[in-house]
Amino acid sequence: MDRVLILGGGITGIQATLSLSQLGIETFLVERGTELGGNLRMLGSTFPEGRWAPDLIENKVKEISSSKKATILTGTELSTLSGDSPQFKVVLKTPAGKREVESGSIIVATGFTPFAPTTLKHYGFGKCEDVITALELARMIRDGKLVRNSNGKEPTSVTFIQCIGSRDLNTHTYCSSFCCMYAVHLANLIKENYPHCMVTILYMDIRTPFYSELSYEEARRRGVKFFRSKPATIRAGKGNEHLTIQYEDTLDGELQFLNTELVVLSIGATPPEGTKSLASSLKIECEESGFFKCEKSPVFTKVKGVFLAGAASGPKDITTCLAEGSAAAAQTAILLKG
Amino acid sequence: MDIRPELIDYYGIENLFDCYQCGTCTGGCPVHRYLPEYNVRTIIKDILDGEIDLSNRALWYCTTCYVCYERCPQKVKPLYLVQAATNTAFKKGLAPESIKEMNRTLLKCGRNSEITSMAKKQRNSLGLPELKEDVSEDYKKIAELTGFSKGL
Repeated sequence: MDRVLILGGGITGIQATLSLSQLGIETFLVERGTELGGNLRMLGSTFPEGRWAPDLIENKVKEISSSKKATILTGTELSTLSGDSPQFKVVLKTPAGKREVESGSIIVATGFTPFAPTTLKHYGFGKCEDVITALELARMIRDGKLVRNSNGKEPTSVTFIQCIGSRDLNTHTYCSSFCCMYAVHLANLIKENYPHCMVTILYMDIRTPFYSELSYEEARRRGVKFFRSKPATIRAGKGNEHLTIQYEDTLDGELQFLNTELVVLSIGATPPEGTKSLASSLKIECEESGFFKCEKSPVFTKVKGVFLAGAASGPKDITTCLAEGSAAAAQTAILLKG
Repeated sequence: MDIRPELIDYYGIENLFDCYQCGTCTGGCPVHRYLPEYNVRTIIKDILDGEIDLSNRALWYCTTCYVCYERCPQKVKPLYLVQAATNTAFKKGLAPESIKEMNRTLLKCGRNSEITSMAKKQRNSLGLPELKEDVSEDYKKIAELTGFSKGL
């Protein structure tokens, strides 16, 4: 059966579909939401090289839409799966009703869901309008409108708090790997577009491997302040003028009260809803973290013909997602043609 | 001084080394806000380094409010570590004189401050019953068996 089912229409799924179409293999790209693009749709400039996310999606989607080999199914979910590779029988739940499809292999590219910081009550998310997530900030910067939600004015100071929903036994124990990199990138963008805005990053450890290290260097040169601490509380000041972050600067051991106009929570990645049930339908395993489990090397699972790509197996940046999308496509082609 | 083996063997604190020194404990500590010499994070760091100074008075400033315990992202239980340090300090006779004095009084008259003649007079004028100065035998035995009396 020379056909591949791809679950997830984010950047990874799009890349896998594109690669398979170029190899002349028929694909079904299944997306749960109404549009392709996944988490990337909410972003503008991406780290480290500043690639423009909307263009990245648009160009690739245009290519797969014009390809005769690819079928895009939005608003669709996997219902049941039977059979073995290379003869999977899949029932899809589409907006028009159930649809049966045969497929030679399956690529799981379900990605991640951004962490919702509502459980962290001491950070005031949901209570203070000026405590926002990095995703909201990225959207504001993309649209060229950096404002405080409380008064609609441009903030004179922005403070990032790292490791929100990551490296914390109360939420998720793993490091989401990309938060440091996007925070440093966003800090640079703020400094570039709003030079008078004071930017501070409160971090536990800065993890900016490879080229992102250059962004980190650039941020320091531009005057972004880095303090090593995980804050204790965030309180709204009188009349919403500013927020006060209470933290211990762990490098000198002193308690600090930092006044800032906008607090940005650098949220991590969590497994998307329905990961467990999808795992049981596909007969593959999940890690303790809740993401799908790879076997031996990145794109393989314990089931022959079922491949993983991108953030489905754990938090990953865009570059890695693109690489894994193509890698899964290549392994699928080897399986089907070999 | 190195109290790590004791922490693991006696107090059963096994995830001691999970601490990544983020400062959440000290940042939210109500004591640190007014007495900066009491810093939970540096106490933990000193314990981890095996260099804790048990004669440090600041160890005894904890109010056991449990904020650090609740917020610790690594569930290291900072409060228990501080308590383990004070307990060890007490056993080794390194507790501050005021703490020792209080406990001596406890063994002597069953309360942590002595009954003054002033208090006796006042109680008498108010028609309150006289206070008894007795320490139960059980209490004395417990103090002996736990090594409590040795720390004084």
